[in-house]
Amino acid sequence: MKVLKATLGVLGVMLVAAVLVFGITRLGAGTAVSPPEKIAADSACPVAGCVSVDCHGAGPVPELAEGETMTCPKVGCTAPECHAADRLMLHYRAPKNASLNLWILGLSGFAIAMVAVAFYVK
Amino acid sequence: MKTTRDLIVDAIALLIYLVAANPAITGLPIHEWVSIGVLVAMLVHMVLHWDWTLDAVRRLRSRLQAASKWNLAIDVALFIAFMTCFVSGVMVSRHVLVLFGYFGPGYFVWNPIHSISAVVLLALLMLHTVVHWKWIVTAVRRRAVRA
Repeated sequence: MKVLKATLGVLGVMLVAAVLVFGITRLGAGTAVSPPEKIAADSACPVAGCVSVDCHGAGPVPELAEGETMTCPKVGCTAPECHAADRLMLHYRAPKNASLNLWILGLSGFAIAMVAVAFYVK
Repeated sequence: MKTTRDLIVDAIALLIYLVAANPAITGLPIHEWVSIGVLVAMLVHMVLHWDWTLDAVRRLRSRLQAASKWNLAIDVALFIAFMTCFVSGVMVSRHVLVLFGYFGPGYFVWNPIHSISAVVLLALLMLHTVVHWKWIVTAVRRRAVRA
């Protein structure tokens, strides 16, 4: 009973936090942020507001064919050309931030190892 | 017994987190699925320490020691960073979400949020480990001696 109560309590706090994160981001970013949508044949490109007639689903963004355009995915940008097309083509399905995590973990591991070595040598 | 259980749960949670935190090594599909495991690990970890959390919040204004206040502040910040990272991760998901036939609009809003919160989460997790380092070393040493 105690565990069930605690589980419900934690789930409740998590749910409230998730709604708050979504709500605050939506307040900041406006209509660019909305709840997940069902992928349909007539869905717009989920990544960048691509106005190609084909739905790209959530697959890799294809090279644009002649005559196709993309609207700029940057929030608030009204320029006709896409500023992030290169990012979409090259990095859409590739992890990016992990390298930073590896750097932090690597440096921390190195620092801890050095402290441990210094401690045991002494 | 309780300490052993906490130690095992924390070790498993840390292991799952380390896999999830390095998508450059594992690839995105594993990163996304293992991240759901991190959510479960976080849930179990929080349930196990729920009494302490409630007690600390209740005593916040009166008798809570300064060390415990810092501890609680780090834990709250850690939780906020984790939930931000998780929600933004769901919104930029290209495997788990798609499997259910959905996609999250606003990739260019959520992606930087996901990156920043992941780094903040890692930093706070390290701080969390350092704060509890004495407890970890004592618990492991006692069990090693007994074995």
